Amino acid sequence: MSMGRRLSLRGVCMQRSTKRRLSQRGRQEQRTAYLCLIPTFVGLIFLTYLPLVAVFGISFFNWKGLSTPTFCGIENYIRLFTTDPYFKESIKVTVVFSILSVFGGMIYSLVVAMLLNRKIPARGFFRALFYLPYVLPAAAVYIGWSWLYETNFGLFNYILKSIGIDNVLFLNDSKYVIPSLALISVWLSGNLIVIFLAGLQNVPRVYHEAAEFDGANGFQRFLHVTLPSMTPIIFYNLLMSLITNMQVVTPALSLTNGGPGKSSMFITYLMYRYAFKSNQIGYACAISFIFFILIAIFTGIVFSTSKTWVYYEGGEE
Amino acid sequence: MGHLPNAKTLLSSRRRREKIADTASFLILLIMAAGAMLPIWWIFRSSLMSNAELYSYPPKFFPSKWLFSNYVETLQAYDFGRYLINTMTIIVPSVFGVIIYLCGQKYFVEGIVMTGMKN
Repeated sequence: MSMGRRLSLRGVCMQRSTKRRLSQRGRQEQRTAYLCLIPTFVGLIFLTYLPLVAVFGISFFNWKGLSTPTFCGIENYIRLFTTDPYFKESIKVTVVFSILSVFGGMIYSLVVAMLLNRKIPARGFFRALFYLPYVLPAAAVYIGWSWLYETNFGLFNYILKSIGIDNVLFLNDSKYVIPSLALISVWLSGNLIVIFLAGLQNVPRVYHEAAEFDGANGFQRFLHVTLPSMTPIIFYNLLMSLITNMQVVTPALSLTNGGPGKSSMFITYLMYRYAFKSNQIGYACAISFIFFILIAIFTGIVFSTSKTWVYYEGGEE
Repeated sequence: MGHLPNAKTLLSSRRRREKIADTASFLILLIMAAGAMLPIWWIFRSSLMSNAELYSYPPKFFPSKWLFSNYVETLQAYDFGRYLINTMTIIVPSVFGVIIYLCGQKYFVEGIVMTGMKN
């Protein structure tokens, strides 16, 4: 019976006399749907969950790659939190980098999306232009930026010098390396712009008009109409860009090698170094498991605060 | 009758304000776009320079001689055809795989989950 109701809800025209046949067809359809789920489950199990469990398992072993792994209990975790010279710094660096680039990227892309949402000529062209950094190959982008940041011949230092500021070692000074890399990451956030723009176009016009007739100026309308209607989109973008920025590794691989000192030693880069440079795979797995928990905590924080500030239209939940 | 011209002036002043805001945002957008394009232009202009010019000071926005021969030399020195084949061997199957994978997932979500939720 419930199958019949489901089918009618799906818009399939149903009459009492054909109920049985239809429900049979519905059951068949349901079986097909479950069959279609097989690739997803195979992929999830073999490419996501098994590796996850394996990483957790390997983290209890001392494994040098070619040799046979030997069980060592929680030794890897103890080493991680006590004697490792990089780990604490790498957490700090990664968190600072992601906070800077997430908030910078959100503000930058919201501003650009708001500007693009107005009646301006060549809108499609501008949209493509701001999206372009996101589709360029990451390594090429970082090499290009390293030329701009260059200490002696770079453009930025030339500009700074012409207004009377001494050379800044953007990528070779432990104070500046994280903000410099975060700036590149902000510049790369073209995908956020596209999502924001789609969200802005869905903000109901009537609210804007109502607010305007109540005498709200542009800024008030932004604060009380645009922003609240955008909160689901902001929430989604915040979550996605937080997760991608926490996993940052390309700048360290292509530009800084974790330096100067250990000031750009991102967790993923540290993990990569232990796993593939010094072949301490068990230890790298321990790092990656702790990192997994860290991301889960950050995601959890964002999720738990979302109830207080994300507004869903028509939803009372 | 009295409020009609009033409404008209309100509308026209609003339209004028909108127009000013549109122009202003276009100008701001132009500046931001120039900033966003700067690194890409920098990569491009560096690709057309000789090594000596690359390390010259002050840095130049335009190469003095547009050395498109750099591209020819690069293509001759490195086996780009091979790299392209390598990349495509990964991309083509993975794109097809993802499409099939997602189609199945979507079919399931549409067919089962959505109707189940409505019940």
